[in-house]
Amino acid sequence: MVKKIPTPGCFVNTRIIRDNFKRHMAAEAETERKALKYIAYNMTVPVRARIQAQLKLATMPNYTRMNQPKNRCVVSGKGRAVLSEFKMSRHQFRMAAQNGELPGVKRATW
Amino acid sequence: MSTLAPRPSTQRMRQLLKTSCEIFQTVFNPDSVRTGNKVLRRKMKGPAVISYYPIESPVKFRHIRAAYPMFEFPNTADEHRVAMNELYVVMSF
Repeated sequence: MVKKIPTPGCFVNTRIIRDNFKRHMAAEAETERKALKYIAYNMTVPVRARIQAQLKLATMPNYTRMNQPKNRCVVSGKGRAVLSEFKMSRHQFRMAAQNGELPGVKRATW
Repeated sequence: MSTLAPRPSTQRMRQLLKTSCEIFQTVFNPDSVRTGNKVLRRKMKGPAVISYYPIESPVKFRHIRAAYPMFEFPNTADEHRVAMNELYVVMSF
């Protein structure tokens, strides 16, 4: 039975769906990857097991890696210039901030 | 003048360290052997990574509209869209 990954409630496009998929897969495989990495790094473990662990780690699919998910803009789906505090890209942030939708955000003057 | 007492052997010092670690519940690794514990020490960030995109709400606008037919729920954005489209229709004549 294929497990369904929940659709995001924000703006949805292909890239966001792909990123969401990677996030879920990476989170699923996190324990396994951690265990394999531990075995590979452990010098008290026999060499053969270490090599096997390293190989298994290398052959795991790319979507299981924690560095694959990218913070995308939740309003436009843009992958670049995303402020992680607001989960928005710079233009969307600017629009929202000028509309007063972001609490405590105002033009910087000092 | 104090005389220097004979220093205990390395083996003895190791035994002391081992018992000390047992008492104080610390890890005994005097040779700094790489055990890979630094990998296990790191926090898991799976749940935080998943929760980046908000979950889709199971209740949608049309459900509320259908559940309470006596009330008017204006869909402002859609009404604006329809009004703009009607303007296009008017302008084209």
